[in-house]
Amino acid sequence: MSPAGSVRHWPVMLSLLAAMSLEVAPLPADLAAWRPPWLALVTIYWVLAYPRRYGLALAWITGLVLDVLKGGVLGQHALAMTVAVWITLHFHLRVRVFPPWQQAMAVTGMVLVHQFLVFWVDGVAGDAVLGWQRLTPIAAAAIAWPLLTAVLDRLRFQLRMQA
Amino acid sequence: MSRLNPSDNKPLFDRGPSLGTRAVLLAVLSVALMFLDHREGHMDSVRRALAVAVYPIRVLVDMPSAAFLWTRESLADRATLLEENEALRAESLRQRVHLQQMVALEAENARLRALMDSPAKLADRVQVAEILAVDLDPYRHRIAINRGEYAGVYAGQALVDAEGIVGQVIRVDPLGAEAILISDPSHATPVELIRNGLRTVALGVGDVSRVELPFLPNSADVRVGDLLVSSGLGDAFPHGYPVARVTRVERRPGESFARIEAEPTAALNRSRQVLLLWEGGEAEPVEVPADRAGTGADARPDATEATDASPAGDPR
Repeated sequence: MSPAGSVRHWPVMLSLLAAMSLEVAPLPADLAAWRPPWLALVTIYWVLAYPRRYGLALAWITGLVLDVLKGGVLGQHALAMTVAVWITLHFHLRVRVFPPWQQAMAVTGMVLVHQFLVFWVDGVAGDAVLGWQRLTPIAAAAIAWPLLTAVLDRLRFQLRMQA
Repeated sequence: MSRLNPSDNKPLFDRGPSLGTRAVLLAVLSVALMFLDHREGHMDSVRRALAVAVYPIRVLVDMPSAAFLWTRESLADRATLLEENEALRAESLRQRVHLQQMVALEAENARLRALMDSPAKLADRVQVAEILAVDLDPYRHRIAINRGEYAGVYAGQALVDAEGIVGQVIRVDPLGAEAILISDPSHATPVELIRNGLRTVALGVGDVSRVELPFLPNSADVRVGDLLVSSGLGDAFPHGYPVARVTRVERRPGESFARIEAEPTAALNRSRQVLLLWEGGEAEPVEVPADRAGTGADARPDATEATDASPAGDPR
């Protein structure tokens, strides 16, 4: 057990790395549109868990790394992630005590804002594709959130990380 | 020493700028980055540094599928390998016969070009690159390859496979590169019909099995089955590589342009390897070992396989 007053960073970094890998992992063509925005979900999870330690700076940096990884416009995901985490931080005291389904709905709302910003930047940069595929990641996020919290809650419990 | 929240080394009340201020600052920073990157292209050095940092993630993600191919190849039984070997041998023989004629044709072509006082066409150099199994963006047809600046790759370089043109490189990092496929909605390929030399442009529509030719009038002489090759106009692709085959011609009397669709000849979403082209390098065709060109599980190209790769032309 880690001494009181310290939070381990490596589980957070490792889960973010895993989320980045999932963001670009190859999926069958039929499922590609259903890829949840893993990195946004994991970042929101850690911000909700440790709102005073992880915040806007982490969101901005992970967003920037994702931009490079996906080869998009630099700053696109950084902007989307910053705004989503801003909303998360603004409501974190309420969202943390929500029952699970309500929490999933709240997170879905944040992901909606995130996806809208990504789409909006695509539109400004000139290669936006509008279709129902734009909405499927949001639905996938609503499904993925309970699974993600189950896994990461368990990880935190096993490692005895402080709440 | 007891604190309200022991996990927290920060003071209970923040003294720095408020949450909203910080969020707005970061958002403005992001927008500035986007502007500089997209409009001005000033952020290349930042992107290159970060690209080197994220390249391991791409390789990591590629690992399962590379391992699967490797396992399949190492565990293939002897009979299958022999069969495959046989087929490749036959294929190689057929191609050698074609090549015999090629020498005579090349000489003839050079003589004719000399008669017309036009410069001789030099052979293109190629190098094998492997496509990383990485999904970059579901809305765009982009691929990541495992050859970068260190291998002499440059932005604008053409990518082909055994059947035709695949796309072109749009961004080069030190270790890898990103390429756009000819089926991307924002890509246009200058083509000509090999049957009659009619020139036009093939636009991607976001479907790997289809490109469109929207700029041909109803009266144009196009038939289903016509082969489209790169016209070499616009200097993006070298002349004469197959691009697509016409699959549908619909002449609409009310409109000025016909609706023509074609299917790319290259295996855009199926091949694991692509060839990088250096146009008009030293006239020295590269030997791609026949046993590697096929399934390509272990074909991380090493230095012996490809010719030394210094870009022959200027990076455009």
